[in-house]
Amino acid sequence: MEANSLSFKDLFSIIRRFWILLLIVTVVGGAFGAIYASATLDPMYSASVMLEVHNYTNGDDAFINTNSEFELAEKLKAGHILTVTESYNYLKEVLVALTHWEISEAEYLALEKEHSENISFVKDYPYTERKLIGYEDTGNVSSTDGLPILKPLYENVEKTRPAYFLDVLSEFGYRDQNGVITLTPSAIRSMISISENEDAVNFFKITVSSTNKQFALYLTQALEKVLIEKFVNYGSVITNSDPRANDGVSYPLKKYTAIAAVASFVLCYGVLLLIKLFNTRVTNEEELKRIANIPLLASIPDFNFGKQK
Amino acid sequence: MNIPFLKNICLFKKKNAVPVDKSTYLLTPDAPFAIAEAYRMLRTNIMYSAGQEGTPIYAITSAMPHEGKSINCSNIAISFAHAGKRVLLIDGDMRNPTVAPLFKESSKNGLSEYLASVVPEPNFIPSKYENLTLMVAGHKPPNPAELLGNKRIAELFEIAREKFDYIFIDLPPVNMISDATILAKDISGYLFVVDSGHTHSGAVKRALDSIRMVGGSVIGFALNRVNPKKSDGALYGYKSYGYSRRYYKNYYNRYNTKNSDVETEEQETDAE
Repeated sequence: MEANSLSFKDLFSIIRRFWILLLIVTVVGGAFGAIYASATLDPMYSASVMLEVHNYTNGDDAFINTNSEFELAEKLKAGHILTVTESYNYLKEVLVALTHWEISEAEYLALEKEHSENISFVKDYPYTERKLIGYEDTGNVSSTDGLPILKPLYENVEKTRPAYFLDVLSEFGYRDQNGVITLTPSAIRSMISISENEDAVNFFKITVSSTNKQFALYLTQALEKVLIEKFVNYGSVITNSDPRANDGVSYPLKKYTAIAAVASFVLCYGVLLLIKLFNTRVTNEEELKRIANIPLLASIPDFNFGKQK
Repeated sequence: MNIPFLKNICLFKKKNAVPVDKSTYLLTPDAPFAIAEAYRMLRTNIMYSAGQEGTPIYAITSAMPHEGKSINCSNIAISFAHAGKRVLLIDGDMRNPTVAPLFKESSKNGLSEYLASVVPEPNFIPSKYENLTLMVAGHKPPNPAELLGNKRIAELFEIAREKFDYIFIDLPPVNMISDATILAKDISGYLFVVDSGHTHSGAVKRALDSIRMVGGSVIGFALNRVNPKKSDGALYGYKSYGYSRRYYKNYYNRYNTKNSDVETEEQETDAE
């Protein structure tokens, strides 16, 4: 089958000529996607808590540029000022650490063997934190303030995840009888989101989205408790509003609607493009020019069209 | 897959289909402005493509049947006649004569009779249009191609050149039969009618190759049955020059109500 070669102008001419059809197909496709999403997908509930971070301050101390949770915690303890970004990163780090329980089967078995007398410890998913234990003098002096440059010394500390956090998972069936968490870290992380408040710089909003309204609320409460403890332990204060579950039900409508609308547009455009590509019928001057370098002397309108007018 | 067979199915006439009187498509003073303007443009372009010496002879043909050759050929001739030119319209399609039925004239003593030497002189029939003279196809001969190759055709052109300013011949489609290409050396050029949205580019290429092979020249295309709503470029010479439909309508109303003599003046100007 002979096919036409299409120029960019032809590609745009399809949109220009069939824009109503493309618009209708896109809207109908998007609507279909929205209906499909609301009919087949589970409704999503969300619960959120607003955290307000206050730090002890003691002037313009030298600022240590670090993103480590534990270094930041030490800064808090020492009375350093945390910037908004640092606070935000700190909260995120805590959440990531809290939801990091990926452990290979071999590691699990090794831990089980090592701690056979205390199996509950294994079930609680231990994780390692670095703890600042002191500073080592490097012998160098800062060129800016003349003070000696100190190197922080850490030691690894094994910790267990907070019980109330694990209890929430157990209560809603995300831990089996052996205490193994059946929820993958990526799944729980996709439920939790943290966002900065644009209006008040020290406010952070933690939101948990789930198909289970109660689980969303309880997990939010557990996270709130964890975060408060983290900050308080390191000498900061968090005030917060009570966690609350939103009454509204939300579906991932926007996502599915957008995907369906774009897919419909692309499909419709593709079909039109193929029709145009394989349609060798002459319809305009440019197509005649491609056939031969002979001038078009006139275009005679359709008599019926003219008579209607 | 036999696509042509499927296409042929469509050629069966519908029951109770009302036959269209094609004479209603002939150019009249009350023709829609768009159509009249298109033929005026075509006329002007043909005039510019004509040489300086002698009466030009233009053949109107197409690649395939039913592309609007005869209607366009007749309307071009009428348009030239409106401009005050003495025009001869010859129906060169002796297999499927159309000029006689279009102009509601008798088909006797036409081109076939003259070329077969049945009649000594060509029968030029004055039409109801001023300055337009017709030569119908005559009775259907068994050998139209041989008749067109006859030396009497050259004699006919000699006679016609003395009497007319422009000669137009309606010829059969190029890809179907060879009649259209036989006259290649006797005529000034071919005007190639292309049915918008129906004629395949391959058919046009084949037809043009056939004309070139016999030494014929094509002066240009006439894109027929253009629907401004469906056409990408709309009507040539309208959209590109800013003649939107609103302008078009306003202009047309003004044209009809306030200045009814404009067309006559334009015709006179064109004639000059």
